[in-house]
Amino acid sequence: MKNDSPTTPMEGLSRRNFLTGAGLVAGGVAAATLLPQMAHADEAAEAQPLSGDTNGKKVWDGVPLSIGRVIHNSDLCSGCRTCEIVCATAHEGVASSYRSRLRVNKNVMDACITDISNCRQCAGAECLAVCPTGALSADPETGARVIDEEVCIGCRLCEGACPVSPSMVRYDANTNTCFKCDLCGGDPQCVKFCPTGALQSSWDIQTAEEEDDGFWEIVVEGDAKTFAHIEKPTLVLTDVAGGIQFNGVVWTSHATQFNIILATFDATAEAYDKNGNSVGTSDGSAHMEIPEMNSAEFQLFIPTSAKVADLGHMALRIQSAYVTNAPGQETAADGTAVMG
Amino acid sequence: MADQLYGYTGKLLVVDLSTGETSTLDTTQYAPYLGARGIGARLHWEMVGPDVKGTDSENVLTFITSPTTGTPCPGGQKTCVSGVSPHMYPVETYLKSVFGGMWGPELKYAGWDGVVVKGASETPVYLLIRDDNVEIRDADDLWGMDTQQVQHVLWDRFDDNYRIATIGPAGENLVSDAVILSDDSNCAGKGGFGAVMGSKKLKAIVVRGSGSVSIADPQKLLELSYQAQRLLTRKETESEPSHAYRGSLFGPLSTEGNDIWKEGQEGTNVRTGLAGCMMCPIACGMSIKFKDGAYESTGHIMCVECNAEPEEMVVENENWGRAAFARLKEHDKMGYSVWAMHLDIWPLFTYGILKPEDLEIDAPVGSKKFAKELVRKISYREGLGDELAKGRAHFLNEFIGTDATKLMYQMQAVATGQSRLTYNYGANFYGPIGWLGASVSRGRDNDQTWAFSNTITDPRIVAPASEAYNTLQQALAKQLWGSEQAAIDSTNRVLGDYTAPQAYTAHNFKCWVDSVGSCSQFMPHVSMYTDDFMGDWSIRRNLYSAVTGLAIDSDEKENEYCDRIWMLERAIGARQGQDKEDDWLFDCIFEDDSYKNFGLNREDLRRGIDQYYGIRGIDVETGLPKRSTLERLGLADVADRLEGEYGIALPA
Repeated sequence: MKNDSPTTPMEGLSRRNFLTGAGLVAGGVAAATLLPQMAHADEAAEAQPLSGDTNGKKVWDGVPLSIGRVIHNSDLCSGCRTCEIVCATAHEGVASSYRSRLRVNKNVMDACITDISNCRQCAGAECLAVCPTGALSADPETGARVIDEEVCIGCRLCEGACPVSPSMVRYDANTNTCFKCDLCGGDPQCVKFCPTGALQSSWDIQTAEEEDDGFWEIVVEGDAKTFAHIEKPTLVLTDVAGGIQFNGVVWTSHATQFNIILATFDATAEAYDKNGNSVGTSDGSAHMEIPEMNSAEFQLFIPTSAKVADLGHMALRIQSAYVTNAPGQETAADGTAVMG
Repeated sequence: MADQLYGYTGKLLVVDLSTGETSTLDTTQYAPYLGARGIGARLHWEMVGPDVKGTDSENVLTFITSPTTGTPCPGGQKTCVSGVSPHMYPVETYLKSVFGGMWGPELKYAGWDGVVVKGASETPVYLLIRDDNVEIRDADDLWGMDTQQVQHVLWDRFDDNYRIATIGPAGENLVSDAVILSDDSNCAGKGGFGAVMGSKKLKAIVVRGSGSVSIADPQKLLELSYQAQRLLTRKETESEPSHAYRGSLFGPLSTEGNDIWKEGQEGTNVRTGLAGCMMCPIACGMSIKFKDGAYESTGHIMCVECNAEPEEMVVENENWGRAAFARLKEHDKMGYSVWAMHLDIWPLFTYGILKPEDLEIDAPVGSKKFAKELVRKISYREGLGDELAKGRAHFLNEFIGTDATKLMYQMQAVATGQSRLTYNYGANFYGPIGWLGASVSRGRDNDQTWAFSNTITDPRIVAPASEAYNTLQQALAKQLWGSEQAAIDSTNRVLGDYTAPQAYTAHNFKCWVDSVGSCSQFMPHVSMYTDDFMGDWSIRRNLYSAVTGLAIDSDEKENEYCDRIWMLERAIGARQGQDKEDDWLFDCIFEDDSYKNFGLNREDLRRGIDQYYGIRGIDVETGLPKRSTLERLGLADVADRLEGEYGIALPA
């Protein structure tokens, strides 16, 4: 018996999402109580989405950026696949890797180094753009690109439009609908169950020309598909001999096809005093290459006689770009072997 | 059994390599045996006779998963391999060995609870299972490859989502300590089952599944799973990694001060990482990647592999460094047990019984070259390696011509492999439970006591000999055996009235763990995160119930299942001639000061064993299971067969 026709024991709820917060949100539970960490929800909903024509695909203007996303740190990952199996169980009520919204790629012969392929909740939202029925939309609370299975007709255009390879939209022949990551309505079960902390959810977006608390000004420029994601708590300024040291972390959140496409970032920083006068610019730019949806740390040195306490304002400018390997190229630019 | 099956897929795949035919068995008829080890024992009882040798074509090799395998149940993903073990000496007896990783879950997703391999092929073959599609394919081109090569070739042929259980040259050459290996180094290491695959000319079992496993109560399962995880490991904050049990558990890898760890911390040449089996919250394994390319990466190094050989530290001038990893990788490739080398073979050199030149190895003991050539010579049975390949007990008794028992004991070696003598590993370390537990254990299945004893003496939970430690021990004793005295006796090394109940619990615990495919490190009944370090004793079976919908909701109910499995294995032993005489420690142990000073004596042990027999329903005179006991456990057919077919008179 091949349990190919899963049944949910919880009737009355949609088969999909029946254990996840998405079901609860749909059921009218106030999202705010579920998502205390989403301080930026309103801002993000109002943020101007990226637009433009990329790779010949029409990108739908007016789609709010996703507030949340799930990010992965392979240095902490043990490759246990808990996320994968919990995802399927939470959404479908059955255990199966094929019914998971994310995929675990564990290179067992190379020190078990593991990458997770999961939905980046792209800014461009190509899946959403191609949907002919409006089944795909941005969740008003989380910004996740979600599929309404009642409206989905199973045309699989979204599956093909997904820039991640393999596609992060999957198709269920039994129901003739597509399914994808919905961030579980704000409480991603993969993150909750990840025993090592390798998977984390992030609800804090920083993107083009967003100014936050008056101190940080963060500007991301470059390829519209690149969605730089900067963790503010990691932006640290330290007084050192001859100037100020600036440490930060930048994430990519948009599609990087598993080790084939690299996101690159060049960061520069400028410090201003409380009168708004520039007191120093970094002596060079920090260059980062991120081969998957992952993070990279950078460090900048700003030669100045000013101290951190004197500063009134910091500007961080990040130029982003994608590097695409030539077709058929077997290794990524960082030398890692390409899997799958 | 309900119409809708949960946990179980409902089918066991039976493959007869002699005829090339495949068939299926209904798993539900085996549900009284839980899964993995229990079902394996029942299949062995039904399919194999008492005179079959490990490498005979009549031997049946089973790979059985459990209902929890493949579901989000932490600790429940292992596969149990069982059959007649060619490792056992002098009588080759029934044995089981479990392995983790991802093979078992993949088999479940393919729609099978287990694979039963009968007969033997005349030419090398491999078994390809893709959902319902089962093929026996020619493996001429794969025969001779090491375990890593064969997997790479098969991954190229299909894709790397296929999970493969395979053997290396050691298994092909019927080496009695050959392992079955999956992925980088997940092994069924005990019993030499790699040689059984080799004797059947079965190079690999290749599995890919696109299905799913149904769960009776998914919501409940996720809740319990999360609770269990929280008892075992915690992320301090969202952004901090878990700090419990990181890296290899007992080995030197997780401690600072060894060379490979230092290299990983200091330099850029070594990346150390975590490695765990499916759904594991602990990740006991450690992975090492040599970024300088000097060595091949090693994926899943577990505690039992982390035994630094003293000579290695001297000759290679390292404290668990690169030479040790080169040695491990060679074991993985050849499919030859690291544990057998450490316990059985290496001491022959340490104690001067063998010298490198005896095997024509031109390198000192402890050097990289020595380790590599020794593993290869045994795996390919070159020169004296041919004798060592038969196992140490065989080698000492029949090649050297000495009393292996005595000699091995003197060498403080802990593995005997003798089926008619009990296995004494850890007997002293765990005190009276260990003495008694080892006495009534069978063959090399030492961990029957080990696993449980470890859970209640685990220094990672709370520091031994501390007040909190004693409090925890006594609280557990009160919960499990009704009195704190059980813990006090254990601490004081008194084989008292509670020792037999303790050994009974320990053995049943292991029956449970092995039969639900769990891991002996999965022990949510103690926790380093609660104030009193107490966890949840019943969460193990609640997880099982949430998956299957079958209520096992009390110690009595759980014991009924475990008693059945334990007694069935006893019956398997009985038809091979095992009786009361086998339930005894090596005689030389009683003369050993380290045991004597701790209070071990023959009288107390005899009394404890008799009490244990009473709890089990075993006859005190003969050590045989009573008919009434077998009938109470639903094993009347077993009793009938023991008497009718094998002529064993069972006490009433």
